[in-house]
Amino acid sequence: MGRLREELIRSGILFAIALVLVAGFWVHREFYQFGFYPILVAGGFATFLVITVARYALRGDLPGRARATMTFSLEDGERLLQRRATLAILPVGTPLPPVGALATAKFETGPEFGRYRVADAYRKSLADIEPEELQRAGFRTPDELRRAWSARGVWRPEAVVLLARLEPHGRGTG
Amino acid sequence: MSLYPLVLIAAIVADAWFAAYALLRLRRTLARFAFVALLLDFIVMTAAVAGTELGALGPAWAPVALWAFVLAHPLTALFLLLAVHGEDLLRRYPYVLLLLAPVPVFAGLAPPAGYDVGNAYEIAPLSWYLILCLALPLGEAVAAWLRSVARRSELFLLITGAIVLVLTGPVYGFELDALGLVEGAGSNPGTPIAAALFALALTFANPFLMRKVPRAASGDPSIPPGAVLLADEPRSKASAHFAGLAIAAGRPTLEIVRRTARTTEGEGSVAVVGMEPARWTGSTVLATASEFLARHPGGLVYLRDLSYLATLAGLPAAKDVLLALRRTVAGTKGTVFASLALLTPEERRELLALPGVTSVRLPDPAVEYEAILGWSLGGGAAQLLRAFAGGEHRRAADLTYEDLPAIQRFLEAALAELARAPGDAPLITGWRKTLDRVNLDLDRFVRKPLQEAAAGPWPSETRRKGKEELVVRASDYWKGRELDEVLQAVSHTADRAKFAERVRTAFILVLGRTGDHLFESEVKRIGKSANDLGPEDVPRLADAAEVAIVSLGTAVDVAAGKADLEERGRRLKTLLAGILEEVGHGA
Repeated sequence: MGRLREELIRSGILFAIALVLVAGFWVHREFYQFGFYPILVAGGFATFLVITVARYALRGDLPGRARATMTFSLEDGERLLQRRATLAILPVGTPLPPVGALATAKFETGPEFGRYRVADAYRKSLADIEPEELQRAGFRTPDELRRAWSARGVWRPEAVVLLARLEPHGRGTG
Repeated sequence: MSLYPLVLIAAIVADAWFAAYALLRLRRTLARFAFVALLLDFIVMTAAVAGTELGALGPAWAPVALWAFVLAHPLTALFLLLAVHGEDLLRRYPYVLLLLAPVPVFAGLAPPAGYDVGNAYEIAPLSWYLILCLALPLGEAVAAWLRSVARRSELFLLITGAIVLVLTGPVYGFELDALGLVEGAGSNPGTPIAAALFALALTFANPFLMRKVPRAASGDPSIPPGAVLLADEPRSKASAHFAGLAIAAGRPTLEIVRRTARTTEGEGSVAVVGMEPARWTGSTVLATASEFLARHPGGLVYLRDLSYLATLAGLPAAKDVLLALRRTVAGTKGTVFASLALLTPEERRELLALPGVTSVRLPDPAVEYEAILGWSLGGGAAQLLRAFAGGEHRRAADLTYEDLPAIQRFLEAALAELARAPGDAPLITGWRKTLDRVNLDLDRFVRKPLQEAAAGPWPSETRRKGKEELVVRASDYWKGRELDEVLQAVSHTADRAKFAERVRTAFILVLGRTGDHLFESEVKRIGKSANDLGPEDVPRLADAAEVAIVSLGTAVDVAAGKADLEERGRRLKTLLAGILEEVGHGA
């Protein structure tokens, strides 16, 4: 509901800007033989459409595209939800929205638990993860990470992983 | 008075602001130069029209308005082509400068042809020229936008800016003319909007801030010129080594890495830039490399963290960047060298299949060191390397080419220790021969130039050929003395020296130069030399230091001074306890 209201306000402002832009073309009212008010409304609407399409295109959020989501295991999701972690250590093939994008975070069992902005994403081998990164990922010791990772498969120090720095956006649903 | 001249004055102010922004913030030399030239032309053109309208300028300014107006078109074309194709446009297609050639010709023809700002878009062939100047770069920008993945945002803004200029130039001009509003002829009220879009596009593709590298001819024969080389390696060790050799040979090099707290700006002939998380990293990397290669045509661009670019911008964008860079270096002495470390096998396959790129498969030195040591020392090789790496608080898998001198010193100490015990002359000679052979093989591996290293076979892939009988074989000797025992002895000696240095550093950190003197005197007091100092001595040393600090405190009358010394004493104890804990002697 909040998102819809935000979208309506933004669209309203854009429409007002479009009307102002078209009002600048008042000299055309006779040239086009339409009259001032029809060209104001029709032109304003056309301009509004152009701006809206450009805005969505720049944001990479055109209708028809699925809203970005990120799926986490129960343990990883809990760490994020409890704000114990701001860094997610994920298998390298995990699909991730582009950096800067907002994405809905979901548990692998289905429920959504919040929205996060992807602040950074990079790769490292498991053995190269530094103590500070380990802490930001919500682990106290390398052994804790090793135990958590064993749920995903065999621990290989040279295995490449994806590290995603996530910033919570708004309130989590948990 | 009409409001239109006031709109034009506002446009002049905005254009001037964008020109200042470009001069201060944008770093693409040629694109910035063309952009500023275009904006200055817009300012002259608009000022001439507004000044004439307001009566501040006389009719003598009409030709200025006309030719500034005409010149704006080829300048727009040149700017857009430079922005789309990068800094090497003039090298690859120098004839684009011919776009400017018709301007003086039309200027000469102006009086007989009857050109003026009111009919510039109507009288051929001037009108054809003006329309061509707008259509050509617009078409180029659209084609590049359709082709490119990495630069979509930047190119979209350039296209939008060009469309704005077309709409507010010829289209609006025709409309004003049709309406009989001739006072606006020769002006373009859309220039600030187009300038804003162009400035934003150049900001998206603004090269990273990089230090200036001295110009030099390419003196590095090992990395071939005019190519994009993809280093297929498990970790970016070998590529870093060969890039390092090029740098040592004085080749101007740009190293592009993921920015971390440890990223430096480089020194000597290398400039290091750090990629930061952004959606348009592809545009920025391309602009940075293009700018560097324009300044240093024989330079080397070493893209160490290609995996970061692929993660931030996606693999299609990374491919797009490599293909664009291939076009940039083609036919020049420049080289782009990118490491495929941290990419998955599928991603590597896709990148290696790119047309026109050259791949080099490079070894991991840690694996090869073990293989080379294994030829002479059998199963003890891995143990030796682990012992060396452990002494450096690293993993054996992290050893690089640059570690070789230290490894060789360690081996010398280890093998000397082995040869010492029995005191048998043939044994000692045998070990000396073994050590010489190992060192020779290690040197031979490390000194291989890039192409030879890439051609293989690597030590790990081959068995030793023409193996000579050793006077004493490692396997024979292990029976007499355990390798672990020797490695412990060697590591112990090295560790002791390092340990003493750490303790000395703690003293200096807390007490400055006095700390150094105190350390020396307290070590002497416990009857040892610094190199013999071990963890077991530290509690005594800490107690003695505390007594010395307290006695210093008694000489200080000021309470604050005493408190400061006590605090320093506490800090020293904490630091020493930390060192002990790290070496496994903690409480």
